[in-house]
This record gives sequence, C-alpha cells and structure tokens, in this order.
Amino acid sequence: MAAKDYDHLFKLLIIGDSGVGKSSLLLRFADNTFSGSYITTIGVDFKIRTLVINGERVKLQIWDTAGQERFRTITSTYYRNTHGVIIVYDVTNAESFVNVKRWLHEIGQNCDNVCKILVGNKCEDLSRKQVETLDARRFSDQMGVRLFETSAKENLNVEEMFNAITTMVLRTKQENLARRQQQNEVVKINKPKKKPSVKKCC
Amino acid sequence: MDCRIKENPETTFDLVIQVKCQASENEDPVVLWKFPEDFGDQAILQSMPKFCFPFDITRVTHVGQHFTFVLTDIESKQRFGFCRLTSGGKVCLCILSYLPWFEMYYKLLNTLAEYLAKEQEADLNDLLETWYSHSVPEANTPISLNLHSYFITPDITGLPTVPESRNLTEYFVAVDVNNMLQLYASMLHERRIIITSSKLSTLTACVHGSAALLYPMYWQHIYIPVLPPHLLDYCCAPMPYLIGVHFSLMERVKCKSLEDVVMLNVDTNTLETPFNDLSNLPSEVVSALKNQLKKQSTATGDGVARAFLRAQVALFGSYRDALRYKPGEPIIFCEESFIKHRSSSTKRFLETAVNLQLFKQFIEGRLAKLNAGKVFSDVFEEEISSGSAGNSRTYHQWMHTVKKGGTLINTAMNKATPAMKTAYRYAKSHAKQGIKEVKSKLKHKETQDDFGICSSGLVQYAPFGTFHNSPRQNTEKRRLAQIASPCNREEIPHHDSPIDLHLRDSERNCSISVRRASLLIAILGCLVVGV
Repeated sequence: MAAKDYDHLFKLLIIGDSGVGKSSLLLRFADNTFSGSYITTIGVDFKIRTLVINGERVKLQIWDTAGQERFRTITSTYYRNTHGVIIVYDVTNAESFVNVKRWLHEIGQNCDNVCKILVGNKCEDLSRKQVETLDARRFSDQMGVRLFETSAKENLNVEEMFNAITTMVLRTKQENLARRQQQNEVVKINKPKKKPSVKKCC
Repeated sequence: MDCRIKENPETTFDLVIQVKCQASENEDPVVLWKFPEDFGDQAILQSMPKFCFPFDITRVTHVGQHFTFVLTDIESKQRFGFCRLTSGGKVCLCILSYLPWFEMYYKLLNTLAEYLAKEQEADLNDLLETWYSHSVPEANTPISLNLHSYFITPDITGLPTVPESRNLTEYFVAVDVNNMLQLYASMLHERRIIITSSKLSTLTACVHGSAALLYPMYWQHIYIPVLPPHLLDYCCAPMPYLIGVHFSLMERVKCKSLEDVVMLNVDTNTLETPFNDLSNLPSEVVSALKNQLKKQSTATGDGVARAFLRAQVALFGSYRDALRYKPGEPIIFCEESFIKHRSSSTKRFLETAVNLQLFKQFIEGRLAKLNAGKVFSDVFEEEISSGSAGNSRTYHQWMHTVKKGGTLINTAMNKATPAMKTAYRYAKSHAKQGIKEVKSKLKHKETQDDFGICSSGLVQYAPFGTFHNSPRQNTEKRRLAQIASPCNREEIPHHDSPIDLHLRDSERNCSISVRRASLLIAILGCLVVGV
C-alpha cells in the first residue's frame, strides 16, 4: 500500500436545509470537484481537501446527505463517528435558521465531543438578508460556537471558515491525545502503589 | 413522513433500459435500448447503467439473475432499479420505478426479456406503452397488459410472506437465525452495516428483506442495497449506513479506513461486529423472537415477519401509553414516561433507542397523523391491540378506560337536560370532524401548565392508556371515578368556550366530565377505529 499522504484524517459533516448552499460551499472548497456529485443518486456525497495547518497535513472528508430537513431532530447516531459538524443556514431565508438553531442545540446536548461551527451562507445578497448578523451572533455566542458569514458564490470567507473548523478539530485531537498521555503517566506512577483488586463476587 | 417510499408517484415506472457492460471498469456501459425514447433526465441516464453491473466485471460472470438497486433522490425518497442480468452478466435489463413491487417487476422483466430475445420490438413497445400510460393502480388490482402479461398489484401495507416475498424468503433461507438477530440488533443501534454475497439476488434480497423487518420503522440513513465499483469510497461514510457490496469488491472495501463496521457475509453466514448490540436488547424479547423463528410453523406465511413485528411491539408498542394530550395543544410524546415503568433491561435499551433516528421519525409520523385527526390503523397497531405479544395488557386496559368513558357519557346523558344533550352532540360532531377543531374549541383553564413536567404524573394530561404497576394507575382510577360521579364544585374552572355558554348554570357540574369524555373519545377514536 502507498504511504499515507496525510498526518491526520478527519471526517466532517455539513448539515442544513436543502437550498442553503451546502454543495456550493463544498465545491468552492474541495480538491476533487471533478469526481461528480452523487447526492441525487445515492442521497449522500462527500468532498476531499488536504490542508496544511501548523505544518501538519490534514486530510478532510466532508460529508453531506440528502433530505435532512425532514428530520426535526437529528439524533446522536448521525454524528457518532464524526470529528466536526458544519451547520449551514441561508442568511436570506429565516426559515433555514430555525432548523439550524434546533439542531445545534441538540448537538450541544447529545454530542459534546463534536466540534461545530455555524455558517450563514449567501451573505453577498445584503438586500435580501433576513437573518441579522447580530441575532445570529447572539445565538452563536450563547451556544459557544463560532459564526462565519460566507458567500460560496463570491468566494467570501469560505476558506477562512473551513480553516477554522479544521484547526478546531485538530486542536481537539491534540488536546485529547495530551490528556490521554497525561493520564497514562499518572497511571504509571500510581501503578506500583496499587494492588490488583480481588474480585469478591462470583 | 417517516417512510421512504414515495407517496403517489406519477407513473408506474420511469425508465426501462437494456445495457451492455464493457470489458473494463473505466469504460461506461453502453445503453442498447431504452423506453421511453425521449427520457430526458441525463443524470439518471448516466448513473443508472453503472448500477446495472455492481461487481468486478473483470473477474466474475456468474452473479445471479434478478436484483434490485436503489437510487435515493434529493428528498431522500427511494427509487428502485429492478434488474435482470443475462449473457454471463454482460447484459442487463433494468426497470426504474418508485413502486417497491419486486415480484411484479421481476415477472415483467422476464416477459420483456423474452420479447427482446425474439426481437419482437413492436410487442415490447406496446406492452410498455400500455403500462407506462396506466395510472398507478391501487393494491390488489388485477392488471392485464396483454394476452401474456397478467398480474395483481401487491399490497405493501401487509406483512411480507414466505415464499411470496422474494426478499424475505431469500433472506430467511440464506441467513441463520442468530445472524438475523444480530443484524436486527445492529440496525436497532443504527450502525454502519455492510452485507456481502457473491450472488447479487441474494445480496439485495438480504438488504431489502432485513430492513423490512424493522417495520413499522424505516431505516433513515444511507441505504444502498448494492454499491457499484466506482462508489466504493462511500463505505468510508462516518454516518450510519446499510450497504450491500458484491463479494468480488470486498477486498477493495476492506483496505479503506472503515473503522467500526458490522459485516455480514451471507455466503459463509458469518457476522463480524465490534459491538454487543444483541446483548443490549432485552433478553426476554430476544429469546421469544429466537424461539418463534426456530419453530417449523414460522417458516411459511407471515410467520417470520410477524415474529419480528411482535418483537417491535414488545420493544416499542407502549409508545401509546406515553402520548400526552392537553386541550388546545397538539398531542405530544413523553420520552421520560415511555422509558419509565419497564423492566431494567428494557429500560436500558429504550434509553438509547429513543435517540435513534428511526424511532424519532416513527413517533413524529404517528404524532403527525394523530394531530391531523387522521383515522389510521396498521398491522403494528393491530398487533399491539391483539395482545398476543409482550405487553398484551396495554390494549385491554386501554379499552377499559375507553369503556369507562363511554359509560360515563351514557350516565351523563341520562341525567342531562336538553342543553346537556346539545353540548354532547356538539362535541361528538366535532370529534368526527377531527380532534383539531375540538381541541381549539374546548379550552380548559385548569390545564395551562407547561408540558415540561409531564413526567411527574399530573392529572391534567389525558393519557392514551393507563400505566401498569405504577402509582399513576391509582391517580388515573381516581380521576375516572371523579369524572363518572358529579364532580366537586371547587374543581370547576371558568369556561368561555361555546359549549360553556349552554352549560353555565345548571349543568356546570357535568360539563367537565362530558368534555373530558368527548375529548378522550375524539382522540382515542383515531386509534381505535380499525381495531
């Protein structure tokens, strides 16, 4: 097998109503735009991009599924194996912000180990803006997530947003790793003191 | 809402193609013939031929004959590609349709193939023209397309039977009971699941067959009964999935970064899983299901499907008891009380099960129907009611409650003045129109508390059933007794609904009971009808 062309592989999810511009964001960002889209044939699609962050090569897979708006609640089983979630609404469509608010709330409650970022897309169209930056900012602060207003059409802030979530995911991984190492050391130090416990029950 | 079969598709089918595969995977298969000629969806025309050869074409030729792939559209609805492979797996005839009519379309494929083999293209086109322009028939309709093609449209609301359902039959024959249970358990944990077999018909039958056993729930995630070679990367998806992979492609799949995947090899009848999903299911449900499946008598008819249905009833049938209704508000589902009052192993399972997408969608589907005032029943509700499964008492106790309500109305009616009767008729006629209207007109001031405290067993909620072996039961009895007898004056709230205008003076005492009863009947009527 060929040597790995990356140091880290992260799988991210992008969620949001259809029409908020998830696919356009992915197309802007991805390396493999030539590979076609399968969201209309198998209901799922993913795009790949490799970034270099602090000298580390990070390979991102960003996954999208069809018909998420039919879920009032997206349950924790959906996020179980992901590192991060990009939650997208359309700033020109207040309705799209409603679902996003509920979903973000639920991720916060059920899957606290998943990194998340809030994205208001289509910010190029100021005249049709329905979700005010201030409202979105207030909500994102309350939820403790970062907010990005992007335009996939004009390529505004897209790169910054993906960089931000990648950095976040990478930091979380490194922190977890550090914590585990620390724990291991603690265990090693403690080990000689501890006698193996004897099981009393049968 | 929760089902992924498209409701009311416009046509009986969308497209029929005959495709020939090339010598290598890099070349696209060639469409030899298609119907209708002017089919315009280029995306489908491009992707569909590749789904017709979902195996390593350079290595294998004998892959079986009939199989069914699934395309998922942007709304997440499933469209079926019924296939018939011939010429050593080199030529495929495929019908694309939103109707999950497997047996019927397999039969039609045989007829079409015969015409093609005999080069009777005019007859072939006539037949397809007739069927294509036919409006989508109801279940159990006899259809005669020409002298040689006659069939009866299937009823997909019933349970699949052996041997009539090809999917279930192949699944039941190919996979042993233990692995069927393991797979069922993994699906009830929404795992990432890969099924493999070297026979395409068995492979897709096992995927469709196993998923159907989740009824009345539906797999909500990625569902690809057979994955073509150019899409193998999709096995890396981090979300739950149910994917079929032909055995010739498994090596390629295994070298991807799959992580925790449940894998069933149908040919060797081996299931590999990193989880203990089966032991997380309540053991009494598993052993009952196992015993049922091992019985000789289960092997034919709807025995297999019914055994699984009973397991579903035992696990989820008490959802009715956790429905809560407050006048003027939509009916809601109280997760906490659904989990409470069960054996510890069931409780443990349900605590995780309420976080399954398939369960959430199921509840939302039921609530949507109830809140729209729709009268509905299905084999699941009937099975709960028939009481042959685990929580058999539910229905009887529940009916008991209804009957008490009924008695109460009779009593009230006998004692009532004409104004009272008007009120009763008013409520009754509105009950028929659907609970929505009734609810908005019959507002209780006494029930303005928040929903958030539904677990504490407050009396203002009219439960759909009664709780067993719980303190709640006593409260419930007391409440019913209270309704049945003239109630205390202190409890009577102020009313301002139209009914109350009739009742304000002399009949005040009875008004609550009548309204409560009519509400109960209105709501329960939705569930009871058809039982």
